[in-house]
Amino acid sequence: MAKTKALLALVALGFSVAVQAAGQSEAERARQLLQKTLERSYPQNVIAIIMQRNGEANGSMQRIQVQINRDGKMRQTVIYPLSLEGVETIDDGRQSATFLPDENLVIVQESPKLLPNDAGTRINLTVRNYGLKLGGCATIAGRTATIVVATPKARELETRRYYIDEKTGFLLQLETMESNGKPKIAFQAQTVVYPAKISPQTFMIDLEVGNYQKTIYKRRGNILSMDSRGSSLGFEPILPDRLPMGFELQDAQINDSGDWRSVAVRITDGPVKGTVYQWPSSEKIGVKASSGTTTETAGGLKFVVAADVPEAARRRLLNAFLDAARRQADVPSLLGQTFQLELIGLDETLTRAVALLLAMPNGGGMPSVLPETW
Amino acid sequence: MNCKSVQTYLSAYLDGELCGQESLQVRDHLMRCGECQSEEHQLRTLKQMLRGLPTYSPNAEFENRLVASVMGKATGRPALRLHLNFRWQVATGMVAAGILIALAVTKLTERSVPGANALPVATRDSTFEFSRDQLFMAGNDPLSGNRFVVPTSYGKD
Repeated sequence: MAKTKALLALVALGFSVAVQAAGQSEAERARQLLQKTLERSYPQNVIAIIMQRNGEANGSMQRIQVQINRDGKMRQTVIYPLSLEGVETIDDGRQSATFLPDENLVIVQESPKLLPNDAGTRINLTVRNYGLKLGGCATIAGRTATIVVATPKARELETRRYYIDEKTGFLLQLETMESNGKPKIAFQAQTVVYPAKISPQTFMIDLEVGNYQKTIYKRRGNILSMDSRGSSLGFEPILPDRLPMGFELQDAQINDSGDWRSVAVRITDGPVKGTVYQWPSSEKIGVKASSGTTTETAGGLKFVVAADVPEAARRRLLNAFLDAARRQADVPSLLGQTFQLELIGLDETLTRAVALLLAMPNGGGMPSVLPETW
Repeated sequence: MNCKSVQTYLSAYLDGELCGQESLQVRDHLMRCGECQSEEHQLRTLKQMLRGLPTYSPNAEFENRLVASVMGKATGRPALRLHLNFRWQVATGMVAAGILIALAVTKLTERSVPGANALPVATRDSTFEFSRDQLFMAGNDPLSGNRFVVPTSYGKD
């Protein structure tokens, strides 16, 4: 009897280990597939027609023809709706030009392909912040897609389902699961072909074509590597030490144009990338509200969070920036004092206490309002 | 035929809508011009792909519902009709003609403003800059739902 029990226990243990191993290998396969999609270059040329939800409040769909070559050069042309028909963006890997026929305008800026490849960082964050598993297969645009399900650990975020062509890594469909459990399609390929060749002329930017007014932007500056970012910008950008829901700061750039001088802080939790724009609230400049943005003012700065996440999640992200802005506005000279004290080797608690005393108008006494994290 | 006119005719050429001579001229140009060949190839691919898309047809009840809806509107509110006698018809016609002449004279005597004939240019403000930056970021994100973002907001706030 005892032998039978031991044997049963052994079988159960073996079964449990096998199930766990299978689960791990499934998660690992899902991770690898997602990483393949995140990598910039495709092993094949792609021509596709995709339907995509637009960023406007009405959430209507757009139909776009997309051509991508092996080097990652891209041309996208709007087919529908009629109001945007003919709007075209060509990215030759060095610069990106968007032709807006109705506005008679071409916008030229640096290619996003020039940014450092962040696939490794993003996949690590994805594994940390989401549970990954395979969700079976489906046929999208005549191609067999493997479904990767990413379930967030943070309750404010949505489960995302990626339909990936396993052979090429091309994302064929993206769904987010709404709070009622219904899938909402954000992006869907309707037809996809992988041609052996796409003419190089497809990705050539000819700024002399037509009679477009050209708006050429200089390359964005990265403020994280600048020593005196505040003085060159005219305001001190807010970069919180910690963000909620597993988000992390990736980069911060200056969007410098005559009309709008702002800082764009790039954040990501892995699958989702967002941007937090900030500029002095004294400049009476607004940004038209759209479905993917949340806006607020604090500490003399205006903040706009733009990210493809639910409003509650954007609000939490925004609050992290607002809190940091209020702290900075409350204790204007504190940062410099703290850095100096840390340099001479005082321990953290003492550093904070002395820094607070230094920040007092008379150099002593208890402050009436303490910053929240202290 | 030069490249510009050929590219204007390309769509009609592929749809077989050109007359014989125009069609021959386009074909002749295509045989000699690589750039237009490339354009023709792209357009042909696009048309093929569009033909492959699913078509949607309304359900069987749609026509009945539409007709009922239109009839309901038509019978619900009778159109307003004015019955004017001949004198009033002449007077109304003269007034309308007078307004038209006045408008035409105003248009003809209008001073031409320098640059008024220039093509329209988009107004640029923070919304414009915001769209531009979103376009930049989306282009760097293969996992984004707005990966092929299209700038849609270029108006003033």
